[in-house]
Amino acid sequence: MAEGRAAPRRCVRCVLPDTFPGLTMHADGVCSLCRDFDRAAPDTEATALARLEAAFDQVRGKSARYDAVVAYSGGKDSSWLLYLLVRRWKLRCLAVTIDNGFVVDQALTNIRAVTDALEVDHILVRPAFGFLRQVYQESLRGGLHVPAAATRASDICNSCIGLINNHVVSTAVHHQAPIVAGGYVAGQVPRNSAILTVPLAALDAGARSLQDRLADRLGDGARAHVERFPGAASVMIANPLLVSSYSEERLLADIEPLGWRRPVDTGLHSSNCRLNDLGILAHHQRYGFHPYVGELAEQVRRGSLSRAEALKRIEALPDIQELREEIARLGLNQELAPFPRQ
Amino acid sequence: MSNAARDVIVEYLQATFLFDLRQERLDDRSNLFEAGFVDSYGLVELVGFLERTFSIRLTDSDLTSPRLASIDGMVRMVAEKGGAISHG
Repeated sequence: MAEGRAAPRRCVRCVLPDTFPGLTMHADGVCSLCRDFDRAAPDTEATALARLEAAFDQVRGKSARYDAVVAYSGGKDSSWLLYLLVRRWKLRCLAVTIDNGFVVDQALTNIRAVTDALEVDHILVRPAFGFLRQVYQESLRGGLHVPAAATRASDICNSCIGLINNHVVSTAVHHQAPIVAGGYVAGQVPRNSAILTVPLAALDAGARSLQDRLADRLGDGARAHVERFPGAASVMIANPLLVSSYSEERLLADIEPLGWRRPVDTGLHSSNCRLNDLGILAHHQRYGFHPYVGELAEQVRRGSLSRAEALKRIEALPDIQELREEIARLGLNQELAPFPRQ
Repeated sequence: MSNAARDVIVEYLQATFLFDLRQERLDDRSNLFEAGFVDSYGLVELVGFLERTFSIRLTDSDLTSPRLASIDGMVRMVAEKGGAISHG
């Protein structure tokens, strides 16, 4: 809990706190998002899985080289995603990793082990660190993303996600691969996004918006770091982990035999990135809730995580004393911590 | 129907994308993407909301239509597709 703030009231069903933006807490202690979940009657996992597999069947083997370009961080979720795409769905994949300068050595070792074991081509992209440092500095100052983005992830993570998505779509367009796949789990992406066909023009609008936001804070030179997507074609966006009965035990049983090992130096939540904890701490101080609470609450609603486990994960906060190296690498000083509230 | 659809859409937009129309001095013709409230993630959510709530199906051209960026455009899109509010 942030200093000086009273303990938030939490939904008795999912764990969301009353500090969560846009949330209404009903008299029985259940939050409005739980009520919406009950009313929404989303696709069952089986229906959405059938649609995903039909889409995969439609494109498998049709393009010259790759069926799917995969956003691959080397973390446990995207490692399992790659395993499923190759071994279960027999797709020809190109894995793309963006090294943001904070990817730990064990994650890079895992990437080599998993891509070798699965016989997958792999591209590692390292954007200029000077640019990334500016992006992270601005992320920590706040206001770089739309207000609702704070309900999904930390400002730092949202910046990374925007750049990574842009890179993988760009790579898919370049290789004429029909599918772009991400290892997002429930609560990280909309419920209806297990498989979506999206016109490039719609993705181009998102790319233009990202360019504008970065240029506004970093100058026009930042536009060159974001690809645009002219043309009338479409890509399929796939988030297969939404329909794969996600559980940590299950995924570890599949990826550990490939040589994947859990890093020990990535903080409380991440399995590839040392910067994640700084994003969590800044987010908690600024907004008054943990950036993972939205996705963990969704997993509780869907029954893939217990409420007790979700509470345990969001109540453990990083210690700023252990983040000095990351703060120094970003060229920040302690004045930015505590991070300004909005 | 249009007024009822508008009310449902406005309530959803304000709660999901965290803005207040009056406070932000926006109106039904304002472009919510350009105003900095909806991003590409939000677009996917928005499409899911419209399809689910009004029992309609959006096409590729709908996804790139400027109408999807404003309340007025969304209301007209729903009306043209014969959308009805689903109480499921």
